[in-house]
Amino acid sequence: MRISLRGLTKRFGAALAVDGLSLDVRPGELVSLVGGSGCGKTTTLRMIAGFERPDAGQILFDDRVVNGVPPRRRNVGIVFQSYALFPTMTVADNIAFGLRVAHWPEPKLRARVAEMVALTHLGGLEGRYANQLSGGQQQRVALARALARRPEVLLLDEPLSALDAKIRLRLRGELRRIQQDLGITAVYVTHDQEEALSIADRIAVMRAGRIEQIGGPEEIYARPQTEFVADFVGISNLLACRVVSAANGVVDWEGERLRVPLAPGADGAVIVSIRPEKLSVGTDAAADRNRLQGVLEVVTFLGPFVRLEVTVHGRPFWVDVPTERATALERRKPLTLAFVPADCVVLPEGAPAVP
Amino acid sequence: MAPPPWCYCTNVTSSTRTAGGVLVLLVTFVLWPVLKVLWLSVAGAAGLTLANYEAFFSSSRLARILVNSLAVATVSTALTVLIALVLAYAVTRTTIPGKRFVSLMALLPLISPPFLVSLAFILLFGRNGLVTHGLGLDWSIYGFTGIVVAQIFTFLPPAYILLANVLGNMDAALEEAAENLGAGPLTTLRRVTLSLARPGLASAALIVFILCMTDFGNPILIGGRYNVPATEIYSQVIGMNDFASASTMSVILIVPCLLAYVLNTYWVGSRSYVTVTAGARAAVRPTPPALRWPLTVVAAGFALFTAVIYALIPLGSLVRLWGSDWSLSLKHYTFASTAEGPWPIWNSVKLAVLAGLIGTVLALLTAYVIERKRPPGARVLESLGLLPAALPGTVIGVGYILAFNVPPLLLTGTVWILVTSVVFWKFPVAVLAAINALKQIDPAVEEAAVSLGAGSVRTFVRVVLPLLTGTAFSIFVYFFINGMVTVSAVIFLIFPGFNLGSVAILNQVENGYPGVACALGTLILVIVIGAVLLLRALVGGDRVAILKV
Repeated sequence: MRISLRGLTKRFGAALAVDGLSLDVRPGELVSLVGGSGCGKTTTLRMIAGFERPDAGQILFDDRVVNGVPPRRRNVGIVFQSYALFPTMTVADNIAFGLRVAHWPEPKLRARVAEMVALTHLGGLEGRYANQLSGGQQQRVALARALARRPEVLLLDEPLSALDAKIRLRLRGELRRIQQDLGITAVYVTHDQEEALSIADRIAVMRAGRIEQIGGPEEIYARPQTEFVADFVGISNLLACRVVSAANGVVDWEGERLRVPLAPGADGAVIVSIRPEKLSVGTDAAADRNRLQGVLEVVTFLGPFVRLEVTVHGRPFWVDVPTERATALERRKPLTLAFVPADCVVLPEGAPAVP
Repeated sequence: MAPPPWCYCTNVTSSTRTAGGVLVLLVTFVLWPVLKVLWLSVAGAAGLTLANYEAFFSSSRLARILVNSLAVATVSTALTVLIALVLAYAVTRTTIPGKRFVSLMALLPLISPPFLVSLAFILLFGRNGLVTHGLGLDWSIYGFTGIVVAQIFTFLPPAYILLANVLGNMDAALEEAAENLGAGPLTTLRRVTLSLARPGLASAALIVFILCMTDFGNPILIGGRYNVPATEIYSQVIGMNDFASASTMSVILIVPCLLAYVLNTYWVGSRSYVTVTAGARAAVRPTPPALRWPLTVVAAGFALFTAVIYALIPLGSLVRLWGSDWSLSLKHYTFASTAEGPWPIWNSVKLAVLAGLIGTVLALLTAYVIERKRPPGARVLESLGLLPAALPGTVIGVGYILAFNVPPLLLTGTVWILVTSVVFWKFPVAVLAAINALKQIDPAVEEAAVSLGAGSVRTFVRVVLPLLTGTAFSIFVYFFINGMVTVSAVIFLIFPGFNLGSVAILNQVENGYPGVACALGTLILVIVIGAVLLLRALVGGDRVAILKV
C-alpha cells in the first residue's frame, strides 16, 4: 500500500509540531523519518497511525483519505518505543490480542500465532510474561503482535532505542529482513542517523516539522543539500567560506584559498562540507589537492581507523585515517591536511544547524 | 586513597548503637503494649487459661458483634473500592471535565477527623436530620447503613490514591496498542486497563478492610445499637473497667486485621505490574462520548455530594438549633455546653505539634537505619515499625494503659502517652514514606560524601537530610493531622484536664449538642487546612505532600 501525506500540519497549543509536510511512501518501501528531538517525526508517525488528527492536510492510504478513520480501523501495525506489551498477558496472548478482537476462529488464530512466533524466532517463549523476557525478546513480541493481523502498513517508533548496541545491530537486520520478506510498506522513526542510513530505502531528514531532504542513504550521505543535513547525517567538517571566483571554483576560508566545485554564478557566503574520510594526512605532491597546515591535538582509536582532531586556524577538523598509517603521528606536531576539490560539497549558507 | 580501616569501625559501632536505640523504642512502644494485651487475655488466677476466649465465643452477643463488624467491613470495603476505582479511572484515564475538583474531593477526608462524615450524615439523615425530618420520614440512618455510608466517604482516600497511582502511571502506549490492534474502548478498558489494576484493587480492598474493621469513630457516632468490636472494647474499658474482656476482644479483632495485612504485604505486594518503561508516555486517549458523559455525571455527583457533606459541618455550627430553629447564630462558638470551652482544641494542637516533631525525627532516623545502614536484624526493625498498620487504635489504647500505668514507664496522666501513641500508631506510613524517599536517592551520593572524608553523621546531616526536606515536611504534616483528628487510641489515654478536640466532638454529640460538635469540627478543619497551607507557603508548594494511609 502507498502512503501519501499531503501538506500535513499539526499544532500543540502554540507549538507547530508538523509544518505542511508532504511525503510519499511507495508500496513495500521502508522510509525512515530521522531528526533531533522535537522535529515532528513521532507526531507524523502518530498521525499516520490515527492517534493524532492533523490540523490541516491529508493522509492517503492508496487513494483513500483516512484522516477521519479511527486508529482501530486503519489496519496499521505499530511498534511502540516502550513496546507497550500487555503485562497481564503471555507472549502468545499478546500476539493473539488483535486476532481475538477481530474474532478470528480459534484454530486459525492459533496457527497465525505460531506463524508469527516462528517468523520472529520466539519459539519456546509463548507462555512467558513480558517481565520474564529480555529487551530484545520484548521487541520481537511487539513486532509479532503488530504484524499478526496482516496490516498493510507497519509503523515503527524508535523500536530499537531501548536496546544494547550489539542487540540493536542484530535486530535491525532482522527487522529489515522481515519487512522485505513481507513486502510491507513501513515508516521507521529514529533519532539515530546511522540506524536510518543502514535500514531505510529512503531517508527523510526532518527539522522543525518539515522534511529538510529526502533520498536514498548514499544520496543523503554523499550529497547533502543543506548545512543541517550535512551536519546531522554522519560527521562533516563544515567551513564557512566566501566565494572568490565562481568561474575558477575558488573560495576563501580564513585567508586560505581553496578550490571547490562551485556552481556557475555562485556568490557571497557558502558552506563547504568535507567528510573526515576524504581528508588525508601527508605531503604527497599531487598538484590538484587543497592543503591546510594544522596541529594534531587528539588521536582516537576506533578499530579499523583512527580519528584525528587537527586544529587549523583555531578550528578543529575531524580526519579519519587507516590505523596502520597513524603510527607515525605525534600529538602537538604540525601536519598537512590534503583533500581533492571533487570530494567537497558546497552548500548554501543556511540557518545554524541544530545540534 | 582508601579511608583507613578504623573509619569503617566507627561507622559500624555508631550505626549499631542507633539501630539498638530504635529497636528499644519500637519494642517498648509497639511490641510491649501488644504483648500486655495478649498476656492479659490468657492470664488467669492459676496461670494460662483460655477461659476469656471461651466466654467470648459462648456469648452469642459478643460473637454477634464480631459478625457485625465483618459484615459491615465487607460491604463498606466492596463499595469503597468500587467507587474509588470509578473515580480513579475517571480522573487518570479519561478526558472528563472537572478532574481536579473530583480528585480534591476524593482526598478531602485525609485531612478531617474520621467521623466528621458521620456527623454530617446525622445532620442530613439523623432523627432531626434535614432530609428525614424535612420529609417527615420515620427512619434514620443510625446502624448498619449509617456505618457503611460514613465509612465509604471516610476511607475512600487510600483506595483512591492507590488506584489512581496504578492507573495514572500506566504507559498510555498500552491503550494505544490495544486501539491500534482493533480494540474498542470497552474492550481496552476490560482487557488492558482493568486487568492491570487487579493487584491494586486487591491491595486497596485489604487496606480499606483493615480500616473499616478497626474504625471506632463512625460506629460510635452513627452505629446506634449496632455494636462492633472497637466500640465494645471501649465500653468494656470505660464502662465496666473490664480489661480482661477488652484484651480478649482486642486479640480477636487483631486476627482478621493481621491476616489482611500479611496478605497485602507478602502476596499482593509481589504481584504489581510495573508498566512504566523507557519511552513511556502518560498522555490520555480522548474518551468516547458514550463513556465520557456517564462518568462525568457519576464523578461530579460524587464530588459535589462530598462538598455538601463537608459544607454541612460549618453550616451546622452556625444554625441555632438544627432541625427546629434554622436561624443563624454564633452561640455554638461560645462553647457554653461544656466547662472545657474550646480548650480541648488547644490541647490537640499541642499534641499534634509534639507528635509531628518527634514522629518526624524518629521516622527519618528509623528509615535511614533500615534502608541505608542495614544493621543485622534490619528486617526485624522494619516489621516492628510497620506492625501498627495492622493494629486497631482501640488495641493501641488498651495496650498503652496496660503497659504504661506502672513504673518504670509511668506515662498515664501525661501528654507523653498521647504523643507516643500517635507517633507509634501512625509510624508505618511515615517510615514507608521516608524509606521510599531514601530509595530515590542514589547511594553513590552518600558514598561520594564518605569518600571525600565525611563521617556517618555529617553525611546524614549535610547530604541526606537536605534531600529529604520535602519528605520530612510531608511526614510532619501527616503526624500533625493525625494528632489533630485521631480519636480511637487517644480516647483511652486522655486524662482529667486534658481532653482533646476530636474526643470533645464525640462528647458533644453524645450529650445532644451537635451544633457545638460542628463548631469544634469546623475549628479542627480550619486549623488543619491552615497548617497545611502555611507549611506549603513556607517550604514551597508541592514539596509538602499529604501522605496516604
